[in-house]
Amino acid sequence: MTSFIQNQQGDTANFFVKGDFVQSNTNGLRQALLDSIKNGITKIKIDLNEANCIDSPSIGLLVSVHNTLKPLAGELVVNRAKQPIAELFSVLQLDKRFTVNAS
Amino acid sequence: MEENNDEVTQSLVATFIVDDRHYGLTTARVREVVRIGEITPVHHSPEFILGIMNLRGRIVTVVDLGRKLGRNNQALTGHSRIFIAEWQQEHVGLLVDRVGEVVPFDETELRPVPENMPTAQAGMLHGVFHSGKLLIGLLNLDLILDDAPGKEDRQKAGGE
Amino acid sequence: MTLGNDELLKEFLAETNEQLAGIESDLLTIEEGGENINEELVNKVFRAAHSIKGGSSLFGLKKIQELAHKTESVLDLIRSRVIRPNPEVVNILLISFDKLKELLNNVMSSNEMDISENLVALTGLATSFLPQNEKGFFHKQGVVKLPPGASVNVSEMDLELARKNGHYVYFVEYDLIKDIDMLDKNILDVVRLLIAFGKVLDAQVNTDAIGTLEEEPSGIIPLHVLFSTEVGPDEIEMVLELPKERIKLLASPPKDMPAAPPPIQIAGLSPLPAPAAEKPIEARAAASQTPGDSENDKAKTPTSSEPAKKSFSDQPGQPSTAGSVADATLRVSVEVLETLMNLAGELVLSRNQLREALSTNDMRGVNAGSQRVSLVTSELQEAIMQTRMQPIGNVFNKFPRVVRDMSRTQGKEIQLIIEGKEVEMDKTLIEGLNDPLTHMIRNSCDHGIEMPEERIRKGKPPTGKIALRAYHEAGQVIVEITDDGKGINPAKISASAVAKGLIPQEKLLGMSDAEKTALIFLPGLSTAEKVSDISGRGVGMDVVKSNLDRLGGKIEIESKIDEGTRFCIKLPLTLAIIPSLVVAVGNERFAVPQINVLELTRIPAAQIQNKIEIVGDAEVLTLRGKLIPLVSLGTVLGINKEITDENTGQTLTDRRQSLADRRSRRSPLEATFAGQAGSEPMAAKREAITDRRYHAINDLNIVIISTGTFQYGIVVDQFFNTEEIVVKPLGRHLKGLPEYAGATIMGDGKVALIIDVSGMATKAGMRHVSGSSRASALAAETARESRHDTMSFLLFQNQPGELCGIPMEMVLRVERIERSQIENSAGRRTMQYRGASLPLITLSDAAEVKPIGDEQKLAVIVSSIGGREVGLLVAMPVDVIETRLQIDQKTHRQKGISGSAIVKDKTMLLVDIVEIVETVFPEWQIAAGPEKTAGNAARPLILLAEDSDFFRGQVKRFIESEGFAVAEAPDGQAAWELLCQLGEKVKVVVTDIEMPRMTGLGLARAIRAEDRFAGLPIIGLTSLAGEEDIEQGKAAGITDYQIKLDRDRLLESLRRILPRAAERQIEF
Repeated sequence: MTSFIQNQQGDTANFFVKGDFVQSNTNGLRQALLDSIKNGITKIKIDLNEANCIDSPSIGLLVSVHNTLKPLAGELVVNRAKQPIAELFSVLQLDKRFTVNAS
Repeated sequence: MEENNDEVTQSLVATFIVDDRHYGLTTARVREVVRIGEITPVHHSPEFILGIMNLRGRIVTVVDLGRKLGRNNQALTGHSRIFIAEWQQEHVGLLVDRVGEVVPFDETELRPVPENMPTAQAGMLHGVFHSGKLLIGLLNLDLILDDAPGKEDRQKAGGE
Repeated sequence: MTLGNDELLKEFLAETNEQLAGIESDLLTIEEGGENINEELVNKVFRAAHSIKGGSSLFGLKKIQELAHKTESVLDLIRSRVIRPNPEVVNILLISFDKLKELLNNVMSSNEMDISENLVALTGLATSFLPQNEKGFFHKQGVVKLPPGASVNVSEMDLELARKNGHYVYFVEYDLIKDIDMLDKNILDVVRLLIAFGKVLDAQVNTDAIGTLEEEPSGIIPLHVLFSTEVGPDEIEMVLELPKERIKLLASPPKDMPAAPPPIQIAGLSPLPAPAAEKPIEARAAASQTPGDSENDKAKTPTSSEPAKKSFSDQPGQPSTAGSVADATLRVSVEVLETLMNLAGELVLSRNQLREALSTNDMRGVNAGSQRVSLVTSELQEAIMQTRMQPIGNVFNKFPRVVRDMSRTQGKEIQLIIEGKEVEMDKTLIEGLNDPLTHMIRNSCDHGIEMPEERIRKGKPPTGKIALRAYHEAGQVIVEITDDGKGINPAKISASAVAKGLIPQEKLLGMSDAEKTALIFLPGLSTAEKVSDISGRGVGMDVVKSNLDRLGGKIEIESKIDEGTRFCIKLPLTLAIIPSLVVAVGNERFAVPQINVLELTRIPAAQIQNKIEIVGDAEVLTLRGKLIPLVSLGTVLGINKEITDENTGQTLTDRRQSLADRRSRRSPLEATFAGQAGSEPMAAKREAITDRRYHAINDLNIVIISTGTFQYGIVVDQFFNTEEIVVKPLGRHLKGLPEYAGATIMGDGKVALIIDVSGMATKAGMRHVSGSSRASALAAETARESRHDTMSFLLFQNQPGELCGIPMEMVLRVERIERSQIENSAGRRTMQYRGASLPLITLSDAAEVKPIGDEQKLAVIVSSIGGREVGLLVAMPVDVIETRLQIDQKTHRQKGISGSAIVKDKTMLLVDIVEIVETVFPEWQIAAGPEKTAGNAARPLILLAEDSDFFRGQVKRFIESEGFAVAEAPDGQAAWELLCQLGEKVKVVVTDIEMPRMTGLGLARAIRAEDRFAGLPIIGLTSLAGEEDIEQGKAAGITDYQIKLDRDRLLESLRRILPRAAERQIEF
């Protein structure tokens, strides 16, 4: 059972996380993200519709993605974040670094 | 932040096989897929309910999709699986014969149910669409799971 | 603008609506107060602005947020007495709130609306009152003196406000990995904790310290937080669970500032809605958990106990539905908190005990320790559950206003009566009831209660009544909403249902009015035409029902046109853990809630015949004089049982239909009248020992159940232990099944269904008990009445085919005899019996019946009449039955026969042995003539109260046969009157319990209330003497309890009591 589903349209890669956005549930996500960018993707969308929970390494991961894309003039978008997670991004002011769309 | 219109019509569909036909459910509705474990029978429950199971502490009703789609004898094989779907704020298990691929799906591609499809199945679908060479029936969870009293009567009354 | 979840938004709007409703009048009141600031009121308004600010930020309602924020700031300044609420100030606030209302009413376009005027006015207010040097702070965002590398920003204004409020401001450095992830904590919880204890002024993740994807995942994720809180420097480490070096104190409140009392906030639990305004602090004060403030005592209304405890006056009320991360407070009573602390202490002790015992291999100690741990854990569970229990008054309290408002707007007069405010329920249930109740109350006001003129026309009082009642019953909480309005018209409802295509016309034909009325719960039937303005969503009774379904509750409706409507909601008492007995049928397990289990019993195979009867078509168990109907769980559920044949080792499906397997004691009449005259039904048919079925009969394991209104037994294959199980609800498709109350997950991970004992009874076809409390009361009454007439009878024959019987209580012994034993002398029959001569009588001596035939086998029933033993000659077969009988005292009445009854389709003649004795031996003088009723020491007078003629006659007979005099009364009231008449002449009162007009208990109480009857012995007669009955009786003043028609005991009791009574008389 994959923990995330990935597909690609043009220069955008969609990542759909199945379940909570926690390190134990996102094996291989980091590598997949890196591979996408290496293959020329500049826009990454991460869908958190099914995440009720997020942990610190995953926050670090998002920031890493942002840090990687920024010099490439790329963009990270987090979609459908549920309330507690959306508010967390807001409190931590991460929504000022990359786009966070609440659910 | 640019507008993302393509998100609205594009989605993913998890497909599976019941009674040798292909069906699918939007992944948004699918929580997970599990193997058959212990299913406790519930005596006096409706025919199409196999029983209940323990999914990490939650009691999940398991529905025999085959029966709902017109088949009378259910045969469990090593490939049988249960799709855990979200419906009306609860988790319901759907027993399928075999799991298929996750395919992309564009709403605009949805076609109405073909004339020659038997009502038992046609009545349970939103419509059909092609994925590669396969014809997939998109399941309408509400039609399958809604068992409000008087529903059949309503259907009869509505159908006249 | 992402508004996100529609539901949440609508709830938010509803909440804000409510909060803004009274703001105007509050502000005006504040204005009137002038210098004497009404702190509570200002807080209330502040809270409203505060929560609007918080909620709107989540939905991205920027203008609303900003306006609310500025409004809040001004209110804060008023609260801290920096600004005086003069008319100019209040005016600006009023206008601001008006604007807020406008923005909220046009939520979707609020972000484009112009609020600059209000902002200017508010800012002007705030700054004009500040000392000159602070004015600049209001706007200045500056970097405060922070440690190098820190990047947080905060406005000076926020800092000042924090200090003025008695807050400390800290700069906190977290490392998300080291401090959170590696310690198995979660970032969400940490943030929640911060918000719970104070305010996050700013937070910055140091993204530069985190690398790119290509680099190794950063082992460090630094987070800087600027945090304002009341927690002082000595506790801050503990609260944040961080080492001292990570926390820097930046600002402290001025020394002379009284610190605001700290609220207790337990992260993870949701808030309690504010209690009713009339009763400020209802004994729910905070324990002083934050030591730093002990010298400051802002205790408001002191509670009953500790004056050292603080009050909650400043606790901001959080809307529970804003969906924010800070969704986390609960008020806990001091006692419960202390209990929790004590239990925690006990747990630690027990754990230490265990540890020690384990280390020294002390098995006894280990056992004792683990038992103790078990006990304490259960108590802990219960205590924690208690914190979740809240009074339903929290929901009820908002309705008086709702009703008042609605009745005003509609021009109706409606009175709301509330009962049962203190009934407690789990928090989630209370919250879940909010919407359904609101909807139903509004419905009652809208569509139920008529206009006053119409009511008068109908002959009703012009003021309509709506009654909202909550009470406990049989493990459930019942909430009733009753109105005396125009009721629901079943014809209209059913017509509407057909018109909307919800049911076909034909179905209506078979439906009763009650069923038609219940159609109101059909989805799609009662959707309102306009969206309700309270909850902002289209509502229908189907939504109410589904809301209740989700809580595990049921709803019923009763209605009569022009008389009114009643909704009855039933909810489970708690959601979670109940002790249950685990049983098994075959290899399937089930749980039976302990609260319903009276006892467990096992009938060994050999005794099944004796103890199990077939009465009617039911199988019943005789248990200590009670008849308990039995149900086989396997049969009801249709589980095929498998039995291993001991001989062959084969597993067979048990096809036994009847528990007693046709070989228990049926009515012997069947055997008798099936042409087997002379056979002996008392001896079981002896099947071959090798009979498979005989071997396969196991002991019967029976669980005796009480549903709250009646009792029955469930036969299962096995009992297991009683366990505490977590009740989990069944899904939609299964929750309607009446037999099951839910499911649970056993220790091994397997699922077991929980039996609903009432539902199971109905399913098994038992006497109907579910439904309204009236039906239950009726059922209980019927149960009582039939208990009333349950008796044991000895059956025998006169002529072949002539079935006779006498009450068992009259029977001393039964002996089979040979004709040769009968001696005839001087026209009297006797026989030698136990060394004396026993006079013999027979039915034909008194009654017009044929004498016993010569060929019949004989038996003698020995009885004691008038102190003498006498033998009643009867014909075999003789048998015993225990059953309820309707006694017909007319049809067959004659001398020697007191009445008749139908037993298994045959007429049984009730033989009156005393009458026969009177006829044959008149000289014995058994009956007391009326003149003897005057009573004297030799013939004490006994007052007998009993409503059943038959029983009264019987008991009177016994008593008289012993030489006492009897005054009789057919009910409690008559007995009382008679007693008052006869006065001290009455030595003992013998009374039945269930009687019309005044029960036995009522009679006993009346007697005990009068001095002149002090010491008068009261004997209560009953068919059953359960523990509760005895307790009740004793409480009412009954001296002794007797089983009806247990003649010997009654007489013994009387003899015991009477000499003392006689003494009393002599003392006079």
